[in-house]
Amino acid sequence: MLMPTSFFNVPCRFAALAHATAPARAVILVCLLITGQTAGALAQQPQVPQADQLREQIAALESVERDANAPPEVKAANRRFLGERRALLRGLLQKQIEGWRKYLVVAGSHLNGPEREGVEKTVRDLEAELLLVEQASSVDAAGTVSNSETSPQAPASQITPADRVGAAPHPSIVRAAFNNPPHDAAGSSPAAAPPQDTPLSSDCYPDLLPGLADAVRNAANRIVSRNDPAQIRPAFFSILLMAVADAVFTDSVDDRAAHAKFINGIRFVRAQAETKRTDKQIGASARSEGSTSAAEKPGFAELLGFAVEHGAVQKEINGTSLTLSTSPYAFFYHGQEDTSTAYKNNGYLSRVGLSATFNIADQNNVLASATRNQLDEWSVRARLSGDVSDRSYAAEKAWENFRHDFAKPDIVITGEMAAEFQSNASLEAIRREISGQFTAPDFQKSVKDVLDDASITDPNVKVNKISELILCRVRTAIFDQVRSGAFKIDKGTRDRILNVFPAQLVSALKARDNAVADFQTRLEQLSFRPEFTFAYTNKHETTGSDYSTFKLLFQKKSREGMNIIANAGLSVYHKPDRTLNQQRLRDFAAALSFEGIGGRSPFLLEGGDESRVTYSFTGRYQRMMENRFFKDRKADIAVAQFKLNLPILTGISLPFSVTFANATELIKESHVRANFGFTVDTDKILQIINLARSAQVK
Amino acid sequence: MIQIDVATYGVGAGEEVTVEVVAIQVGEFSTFVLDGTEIDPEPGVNPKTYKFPVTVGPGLSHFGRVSGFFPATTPDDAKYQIFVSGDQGGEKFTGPDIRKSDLIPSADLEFRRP
Repeated sequence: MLMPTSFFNVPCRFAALAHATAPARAVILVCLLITGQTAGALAQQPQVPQADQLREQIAALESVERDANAPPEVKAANRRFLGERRALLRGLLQKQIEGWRKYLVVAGSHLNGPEREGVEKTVRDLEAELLLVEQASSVDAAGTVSNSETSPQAPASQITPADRVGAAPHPSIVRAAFNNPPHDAAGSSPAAAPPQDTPLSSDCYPDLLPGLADAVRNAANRIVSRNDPAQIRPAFFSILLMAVADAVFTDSVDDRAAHAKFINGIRFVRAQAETKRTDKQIGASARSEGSTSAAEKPGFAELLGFAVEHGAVQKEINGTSLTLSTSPYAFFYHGQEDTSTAYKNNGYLSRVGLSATFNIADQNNVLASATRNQLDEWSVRARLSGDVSDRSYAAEKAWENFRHDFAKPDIVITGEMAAEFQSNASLEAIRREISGQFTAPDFQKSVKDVLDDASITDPNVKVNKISELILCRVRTAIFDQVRSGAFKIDKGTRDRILNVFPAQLVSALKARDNAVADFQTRLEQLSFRPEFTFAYTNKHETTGSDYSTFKLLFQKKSREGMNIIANAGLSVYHKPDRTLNQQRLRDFAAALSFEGIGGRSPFLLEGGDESRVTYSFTGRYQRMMENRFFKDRKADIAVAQFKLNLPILTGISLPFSVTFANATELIKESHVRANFGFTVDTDKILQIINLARSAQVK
Repeated sequence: MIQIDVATYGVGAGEEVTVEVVAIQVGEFSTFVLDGTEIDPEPGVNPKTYKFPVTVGPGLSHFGRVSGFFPATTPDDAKYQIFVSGDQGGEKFTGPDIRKSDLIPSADLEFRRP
């Protein structure tokens, strides 16, 4: 059993605290908190055994397990006690790992290289220990499976690993272990969570391993989404390794059922599934590849329409007004790919936003209203604070703390490929020949026939058919060849496949899942940074005097889903009308709003729609300078509003608000007003349709 | 260097291979692993660029894998496009891409010595 690293133990000594640097002291304190070794805790006898105590107890109980002379009833009791301590240790290790991971997320960027590496190494060692504890628990569970099949009457609690030493289970027992959900993994381990839509049966390949099913389905999905049979090649390593491992496990004469559980626990798709949460990806891309114009026409409205259709300008229609908005950056990458390099070099252009609102004159051709006469207002906004988007420098810098864990499955997979095929040219030649069978003309033609089959309109059906074609070829070209010895896997490789590779891969996939979750959290934290924006609005009044507004906007999000929005500014008349008591300064105003996000709307039936209930409390004060000279008007205007937006159907919401005001700009009369209505979001409706379509492909 | 298929390349002894990963509509959250070792990107180079020398003997291969992460808020058509080139001739080849819609956000690369 692995012990914690020296890093984990040494900094926890109090003597080191006084001499440590500030960041190191922080690490030490967190370390103490995680391990529970605070002064107060140390002064008392712990109620729950600490990790070291549990390790000692487990070692002692394991020696009893191995004692062939121990009476069965003693072993039965011992095994129960051992299982309880392993469960306790597993819980402690999970808490420690979670604590260190949170610490890395919060403080990782403040640590220097060696400090961070020390923490990361501690996490890795704890994960390795956790894996071994889980493996030992799985051995117990697997023993129950194996022996209960061979000796149905034997009580599971009386069967120990020692009893199984030297036993040679029937292949069906190993296979049974392959097909049973891994112990304590299906529910709690992200890497072992069952993905959706994975075909777990095949006519060609019975008892298909979930991990192999994932790998094959991924390849078929690549082929269908790109309409290219050759797309199996960038997805082939996992298929090859999982098929070889399956064959090796099937033929194993050792009792490897417990280890087989690991390979059954390998699921490749979980990390990506986490990034597909529809509640975080509702807005459609601004860049649409399709164009609905039959021909290009000259003229401002037509050119504007072209820009709107191609995403350089976004269009929003609200009642009788049309708002067009854009950013210089949208025009910069318009017509070319929006690469990260372009964003780095020209992302500052996205700091500026431009918009114009027009009164719609012709509902049948709203863009024709985009004229000077119909202009209601135009506005320029400039973001003063730094970029907090997912593409910001801060986001990419944060990635450096997570990329090593993200790469772990690739390290295991390419490492295993290298270990198996990089030292034996003849074996490598066979591997190339096998790989070639998946790009051979006959196979490619079979795949192409499915792709070109016009009678299959459902992409998901194509993915399933191509998955089956791949599985049939995997069975004959890999699985059967390994079992027959034609594709000869030497003993050292077999031992590694049995004892090392699956456990390493499960551990690596868990590490990737954790890295994905932690990095996503870090990105959300970035968005919590306060944002400051300067806004200028030029307002055209049809009956009064035109004026300009200057505002400073502030927004701060919080992890609890509460946004604080504040703004303050003033407006000035372009040409004050002295007969109306207007002076240059029109008004100044300030507003404060708290916006909250509730849970998913209870009225939504569509599974893909994660629209949330939102609410806000807003207070606003305005000093209208000219109103000081009118008896029937009020200069100091205060407004308080509560607003609730309740999604009731996909793309349709019911907004409701209650507003109290002590006056309006024109009438000195306090009032309470309630408003409600319906809003239709066509983008959201289209997105749900697209999500439903894409779900059929996956 | 020659391109055998979208993910397989023929390389010469000692050839320096360059793998370029262009992030489109997404930040540069990619990794490249070769034969079980994570390769660090060239510092200060955009797009992310990874280099390694061919060290395997005749008839053997290097096994590489590029992976990309897509934050939840990236557009659905975001992707990583891989380009591969070598310093012993051949062009800059367009390799596989990794799309947000892929079930596994990775692409294998194989570099074969004849």
